[in-house]
Amino acid sequence: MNNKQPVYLNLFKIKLPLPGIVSLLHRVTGVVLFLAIPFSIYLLQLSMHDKADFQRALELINHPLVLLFEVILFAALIYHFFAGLRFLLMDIDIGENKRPAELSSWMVLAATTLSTLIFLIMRVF
Amino acid sequence: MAGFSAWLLQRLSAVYMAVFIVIAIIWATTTDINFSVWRAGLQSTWVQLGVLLFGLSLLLHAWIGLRDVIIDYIHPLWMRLLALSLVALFLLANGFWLLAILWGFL
Repeated sequence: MNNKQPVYLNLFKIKLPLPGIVSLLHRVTGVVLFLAIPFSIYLLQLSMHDKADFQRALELINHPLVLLFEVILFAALIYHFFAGLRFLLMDIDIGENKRPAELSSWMVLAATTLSTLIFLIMRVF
Repeated sequence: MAGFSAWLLQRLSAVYMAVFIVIAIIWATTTDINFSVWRAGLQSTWVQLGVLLFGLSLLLHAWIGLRDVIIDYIHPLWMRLLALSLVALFLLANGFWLLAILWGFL
């Protein structure tokens, strides 16, 4: 009897191809953005209330620790945006084959990195 | 909500939110934002309608997405139902909260 056959899926032993990683990250960033919803609504509420609360909201989003979360959330948002755009294009039969799918995966990662760097530079300096 | 309608709604909400986010980023990078600009913007009917539709899109989009993730990774039925209920409750609470803010109750 072949005792080497897997009896369960060990996610850490499966090597995903790049498009698979892009798809998985799309899910992970989706869950992260879902968890960020109440914080966004809270900020909206605070900023709309009155002038003093608007200033408090400004101070809050400029606090270094909050800024760190902002950069992470922006990266998640912009990744989800680009990877989602890629899936939408695939829905209309653009880039469905293996090579284009790999190329567009790299493009999603590059666009995310570049956008996040621009965001970081604009927010910090 | 199942099958094709969920699939379509997921994409329609995605396109609306994508356009909204692009416009919001352009606006934020080209406007000198202070309280009066911010407040006046959010008090205009069109912006409120746009934000409301964004909120609705987000709720539906997050529900369909989270539902797919939960069904794929959580298999015991009771845990799956519990997770789905918590997500639904979370989204509904946030939806009503946003509604209350835009209506000026809070």
